[in-house]
Amino acid sequence: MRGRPAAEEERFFELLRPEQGKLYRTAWAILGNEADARDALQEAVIRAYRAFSQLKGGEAAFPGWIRRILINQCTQILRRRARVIPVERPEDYRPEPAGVIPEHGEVWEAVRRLPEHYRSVVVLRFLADLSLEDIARTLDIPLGTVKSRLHTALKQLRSALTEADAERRGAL
Amino acid sequence: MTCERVRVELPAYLAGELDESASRLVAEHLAHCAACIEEMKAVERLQERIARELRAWVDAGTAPPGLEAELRRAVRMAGARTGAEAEEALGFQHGRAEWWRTLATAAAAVAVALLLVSSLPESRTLEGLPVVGGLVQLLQGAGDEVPVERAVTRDGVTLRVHSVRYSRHETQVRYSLTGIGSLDRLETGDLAGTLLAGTEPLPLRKVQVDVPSGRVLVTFGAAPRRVPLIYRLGPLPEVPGGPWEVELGFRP
Ligand SMILES: [Zn+2]
Repeated sequence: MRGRPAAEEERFFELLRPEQGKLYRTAWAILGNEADARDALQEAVIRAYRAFSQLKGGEAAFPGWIRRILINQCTQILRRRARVIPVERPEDYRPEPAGVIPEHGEVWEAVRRLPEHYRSVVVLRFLADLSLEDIARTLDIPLGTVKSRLHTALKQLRSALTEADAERRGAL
Repeated sequence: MTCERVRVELPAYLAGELDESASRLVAEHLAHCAACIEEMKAVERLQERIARELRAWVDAGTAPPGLEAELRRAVRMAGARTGAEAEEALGFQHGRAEWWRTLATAAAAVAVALLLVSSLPESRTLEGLPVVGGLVQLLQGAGDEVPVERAVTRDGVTLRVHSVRYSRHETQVRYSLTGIGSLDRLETGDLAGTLLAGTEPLPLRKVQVDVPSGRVLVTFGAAPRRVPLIYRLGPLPEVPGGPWEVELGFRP
């Protein structure tokens, strides 16, 4: 018998349950599509489960701990992808069916429309809270490139959000 | 520095991620370019909105149907192993660059302090006058303040020290805290923070908070000259991140 006691598996998934949705969206935001997000989350959960007995800081540390494992997993995928696919992946963007844009969805709608290399910088910056230097290291690109991508991405986001705000005002 | 160059550096500048010399170049440009100051404010607002709403979007996420069953299957199939994989999984070095530790030499800091002094208006010799508190100063600062405009962000919460005002009797730190929603969820005492001269905390005198603007003015005892000053805030109850630390330079 190599398996863990059932009780430990139960405890792990109890802790994971309230985080699943957030982790899923975090991976989706970083990777830009739901299929990769699912893969990344699966891999991260396997890793976390194997390391579960070494979790320090008690169960309160679980959400931050597993989030970090997931972000690490996602950035590995991004790096791999950067080596394989140097172009944008327009198929990543599929609009939500009309009427179901969730609350707080405006920024996300604007972010997900960004080309891959802008979106990943924005998400690593504002969701994963990485410094620009960490992003450069993580994506294996020069710091200056990170800065110029962020600059351009912010410009695009600003105009997209201004448009969305104007539209909403117009609709009222 | 050109305006365009400054604008590319603004996110790093706002987060306190530029080294001393680059940060000084940006600050010098901002001191003379109203357009770039406006741009900086717009970028700051935009960044706050992006961070806040992306986070809210993530927090509102629910798992797609069948996800947990899928994850359980994956865990069982992968088999339970322990060991070095834990370290591997956590090998990623997370966290903001601690830029103030990269302060190259004390000499560089002195140069910055001197630069700031030389850019002060003549009216700075208000030393020894009683401090007049109140909203106007809280929002706009007094004319004799030494601009700092340095920020540090942790977990989406940004501490930005706008300026410091030195006198023979006291030291005032003016800052704002953004990314936490309204300041009124915090006790005034929590917002005092600590002003360290070297490793010695200066005595706290007064804390003034303007909730609508998110601005705080904290008054401490007089700072010794030529001792590096660090302002530290937090950790704050129920606010992620922290403590936040900003290197203020030296009392001129
Ligand atoms: Zn300018």
